[in-house]
Amino acid sequence: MSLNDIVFIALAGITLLAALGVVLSRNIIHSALFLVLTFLGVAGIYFQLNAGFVGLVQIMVYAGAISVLIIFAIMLVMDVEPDQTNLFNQSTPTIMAGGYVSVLLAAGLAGAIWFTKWPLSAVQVGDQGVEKLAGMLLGPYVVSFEVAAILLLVAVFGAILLAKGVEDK
Amino acid sequence: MEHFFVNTAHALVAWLTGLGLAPGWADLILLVVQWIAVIIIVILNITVLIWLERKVSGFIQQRLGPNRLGPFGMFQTIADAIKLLTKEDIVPSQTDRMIFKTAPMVFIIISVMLYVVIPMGDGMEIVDLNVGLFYFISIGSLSTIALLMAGWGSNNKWSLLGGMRSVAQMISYEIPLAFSLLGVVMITGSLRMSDIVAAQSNIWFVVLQPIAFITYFISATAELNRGPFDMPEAEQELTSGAYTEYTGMRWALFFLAEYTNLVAVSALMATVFFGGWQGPWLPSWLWIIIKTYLILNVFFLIKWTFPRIRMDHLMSFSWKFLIPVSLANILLTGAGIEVLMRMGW
Amino acid sequence: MYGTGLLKGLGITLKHTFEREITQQYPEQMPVLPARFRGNLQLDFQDCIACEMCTKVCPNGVLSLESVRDDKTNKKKLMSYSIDFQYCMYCNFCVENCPKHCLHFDHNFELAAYDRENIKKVYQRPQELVTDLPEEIVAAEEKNQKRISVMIGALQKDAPKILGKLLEDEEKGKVLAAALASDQDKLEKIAVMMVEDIEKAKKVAGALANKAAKDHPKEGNVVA
Repeated sequence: MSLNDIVFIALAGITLLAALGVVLSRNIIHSALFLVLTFLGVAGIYFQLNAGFVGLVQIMVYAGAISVLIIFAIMLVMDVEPDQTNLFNQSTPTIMAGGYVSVLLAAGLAGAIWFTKWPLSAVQVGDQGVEKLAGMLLGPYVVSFEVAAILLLVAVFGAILLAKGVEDK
Repeated sequence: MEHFFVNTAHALVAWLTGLGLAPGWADLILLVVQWIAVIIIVILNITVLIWLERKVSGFIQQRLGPNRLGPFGMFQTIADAIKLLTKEDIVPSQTDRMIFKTAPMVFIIISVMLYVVIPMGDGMEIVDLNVGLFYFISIGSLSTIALLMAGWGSNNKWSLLGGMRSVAQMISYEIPLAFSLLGVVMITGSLRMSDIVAAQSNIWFVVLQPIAFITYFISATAELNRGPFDMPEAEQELTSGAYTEYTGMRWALFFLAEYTNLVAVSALMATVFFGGWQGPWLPSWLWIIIKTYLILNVFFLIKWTFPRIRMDHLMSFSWKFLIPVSLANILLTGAGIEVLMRMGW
Repeated sequence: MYGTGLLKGLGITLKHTFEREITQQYPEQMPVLPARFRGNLQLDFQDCIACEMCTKVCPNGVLSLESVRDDKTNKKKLMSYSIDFQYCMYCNFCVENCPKHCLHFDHNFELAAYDRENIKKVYQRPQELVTDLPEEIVAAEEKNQKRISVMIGALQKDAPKILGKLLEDEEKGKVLAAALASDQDKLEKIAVMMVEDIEKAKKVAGALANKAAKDHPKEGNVVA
C-alpha cells in the first residue's frame, strides 16, 4: 500500500463518516457542520487528484460560503429545541419508500461507475491546471461561462427584490 | 546565512534517505518538521507580538506599557500564558458541548494552515502551490465556520450575535479581498507565490497597484476582525462576541489564532505588495520578517487610532464602496495591460 | 476629500507615539503634589488651646478631644485629640477655623490600613507636657502609671493565676497566658485595661482566650 492509497483511504473515510454524520445527527446544526467536513473531504480528494484549483473552489464556495448560508438559514427558521430538529421519520411506509429510493440510487450509481470505461488521458496536466482552465473558460466556452454569470446576476437581483418586498402604495 | 534553513532541510532529507528511507517518506518527515517549525514560530511570535501591541498601544497613549517583568516587560506575555494555563476550564452547562469544544481547535488549525504557502525566504515555501494565492484566500474563508461554531456552541445571545456579525462581515469582505488581489495576479499571470515574488524584482506591486493595496489592507483588517472593524467583539455591547463563554486555554487558543491570522495576512501583504523576501544585504528570511513586522505596526497604529465603526456602515462600506472600487481596479489593470502590450512591452 | 481626516488621525497618534510618556511609576516615583494638597491631617499638640472649634465645625464628627480645666489660670489643657479618618472628607473646615493654626494637612496620601482601628489617629498628651497640667491631674496620672507598671510586672510573673481570676476560669487563664507569653504588646494592653476598665478587660481577655483555644486546640497550655 503506497502513501497515495493511505491518503485516499483516510480522505474517503472522513468523507463517508461525515456524510453519515449529516444523515444520522439529531441536531440539524451538527448535520450542517458535518456537511462542511464532507465538503472538505471531497476537496481533499480533488487535491489528491492533482486538481488543486477545483479543490480550493470546493473549499471556498461550498465549505466557506454555501454551508454558512445553510447554517444561517437553519438558525433563522429554527424555533424548537436544537436536539429535535433532525429527527427520524417513524412511520413504516416512509421508511420503506426512503429505503427503496436510496437502494435504487445506490445501485444505479454503482452500476454506472462499474460499467463505464474510464479512459486515462496520456497527457499529463502537471500543475498547469489553472492556466488551462482559464484558457478554456475564456476561450472556447466563453459564452456558457458568461451565461452562467448572467444567471447568477439575475438570481442576485431576484433575491434582493424578494428581500426588499413590494412597497405599499 | 542566506541559505541556512534551505540547506538544513536538504541535509535532513539527505540524512534520512541515507538511512535507507524512501524519498517520499523522507519528504513526509520533512513536512512534519516544517509543520512543527511553523507551530513553534507561531507560538513564539505571539508572545512577542502581544507584548509589542501592548507596548505600541502604550506609547500611542503616552503610557509606558508593560515594564515590570523582564527587560522592557518582555516576559509579561509569558506570565499571562502561565496564568491562562492554570485557569479553570469552564464549559457552561447549557452549551452544545461538541461544537463548543471543537471551535477553538478548528480556528487555530485553519490559521496555522495559512502558513503553508507563504514564502518565508528564498525557496522557503513549505509547499509552492501553483494556486498559492487562491489557497490562502479560500482557507482563510473557512475561519467563518469556526467563529460560527463558537457563537452557536456557546448558547449565549451575545456569542451568537458576535458570531453572526463576524460571519456576515467576513463573507462581505472576502469579495473585495479576493478582487483586490486579482490585479496583482493579472500582472503576474500566475497564482504561484514564488512567481509573484519574482515579478517584483524590479518594482513592488504596491507602486503598480496602489488601489488594490488600499482595498486589500482595509478588507484584510475587516477579515481579521481587528479594530476599527472589530464589531464582532465589540466589548461595549457584546462583552466579547463569540468568545464570551470561553475561559483559560480555550480562550487563549482563539487569541492565538487571531494573532496567527494577523501575522499570516501581514506576511502575505509583504509578499504580494512589498516584494516578499527580496531585499539588499540582509538574508531573505530576515527581510520578510522585517517587512511583516513593519506592516504589523501599521495594523497596531490603525487599531489604536480609529474608533469602531457601526455595523451597518461596515456592511455598506464593503458592498457599496470597496467592491465597486476593486472591480474598477480590475478593469483598469486589464485596460492598462492591454494598452502596454499593444505598445509592445 | 475622503480619507484626509483618517490620515490626520493617524498622524496625531504617530506623533504621540514618539512623545514623552506621562506615566508616573508611583511606588518608586512619588507624584509631585500641589502645595495645597490635602493628605493626612496633622495637629501641633502644644499650640492647641482645646477651644473645640474644630470638633464643632466638622460636618462628619471626625474630630474629638479631651481636655481638663486648669483652675489657677482658668484655661483648658488638651489631654488627647483623636482624628477618625474613615469619616473625613477633607473639607478643610477644621483647618480654616482653627484660631491658633495648629491643624494642617500634609502631603502623605497613603492612609490605607488593614483594620478600622488603625485608621483612627489618636494624639496623647506627650510625656514632657504632662508636668504642665494641674497638680491633682498629674498626681492621678502618676498614680495610674504606677498601678499599670505594677500590674504588668504581676502579669509577667504569674500570668495564669491573674488571668484565671479575671476570667473566673483557671483553664482559660492558662491558655490565654500561654498565648500572651510571646506577645508583650498585648499583655501590656490588657494590663492597662485591667487598671482603667475592668469590665472591658474581662471581655477582651475572654475573646482572646477563646481565640487562643481555637488556634491551639490540642496544645493546651504548652507555650509556643
